[in-house]
Amino acid sequence: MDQKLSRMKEYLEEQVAQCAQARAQLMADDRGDEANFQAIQSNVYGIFSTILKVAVEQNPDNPQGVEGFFLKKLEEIPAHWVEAREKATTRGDEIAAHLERLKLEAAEDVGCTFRAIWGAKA
Amino acid sequence: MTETEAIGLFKCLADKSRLQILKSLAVEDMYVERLAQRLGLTAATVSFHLKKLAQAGAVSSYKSQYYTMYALNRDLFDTTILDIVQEESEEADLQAQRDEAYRQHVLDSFFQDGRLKTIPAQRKKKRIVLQALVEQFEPKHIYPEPEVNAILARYHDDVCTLRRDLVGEGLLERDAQGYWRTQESE
Repeated sequence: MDQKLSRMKEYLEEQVAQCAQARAQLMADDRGDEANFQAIQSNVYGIFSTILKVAVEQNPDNPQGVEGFFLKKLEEIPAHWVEAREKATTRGDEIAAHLERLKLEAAEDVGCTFRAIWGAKA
Repeated sequence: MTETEAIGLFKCLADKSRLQILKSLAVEDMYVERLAQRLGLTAATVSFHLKKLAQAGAVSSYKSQYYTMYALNRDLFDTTILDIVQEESEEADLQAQRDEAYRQHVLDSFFQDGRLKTIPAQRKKKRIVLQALVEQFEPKHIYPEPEVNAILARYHDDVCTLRRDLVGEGLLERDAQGYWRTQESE
């Protein structure tokens, strides 16, 4: 489990760092909204980084427990963003809907990577 | 354009990607994917920016066959920044109240028992005092100099300075016949 855990941690840390770098570049290029998109996605990677830490704390030496905990959160948390995106779309607020889509994209990315590293089924 | 709309527009324009989109639309009307390809952005990002530009009134859209085309609202860009600055402020009433409060404060400071204590050195304050003094003159009436002096002497002993300053500030005019209030002072 240690190897999988360290790969997943590394991936999440890399994503946060990449977002921070992209954000700084976009800010310097006077593209404030796109810089904000990076901050939003960085937050998502940060959230799942924390979840991974909690999953390990609550399931020491139990890879299946970690997997179950993490996958459950990967369903629960984005469900709120799906709801928010749908509400925004219904009221015609495409800007808010786009921000929710960005969170969902990042969560999808986390899910794909986790399954690839952990060998878990989708 | 209201102040709120102007602020919304300026905020919207203060973004390089949106400015690039507008520059492209200034060339010709385009659809999202074409703009995305031209500017190296994702279609979703271009859509996001177009929504913001549409909200600010900078672009509009129309259907053309299978595409939603976006066009620059050229009328908006014909408006000059000077036009926007010269629009009456939404805070005009508040500013007028503040100006009146300041005017009253100056008058209270320089007048005591109906007499001018000193002639203000600061131009803005002096003008407020002179505007109050010119009110003592009837519009469209020509006053000989001794009469002007007599009126001003009710307020301050240095009538020569006051008389000269009233002319200098464009509140009184003079010729060989005497002095009268200018249209500006009425």
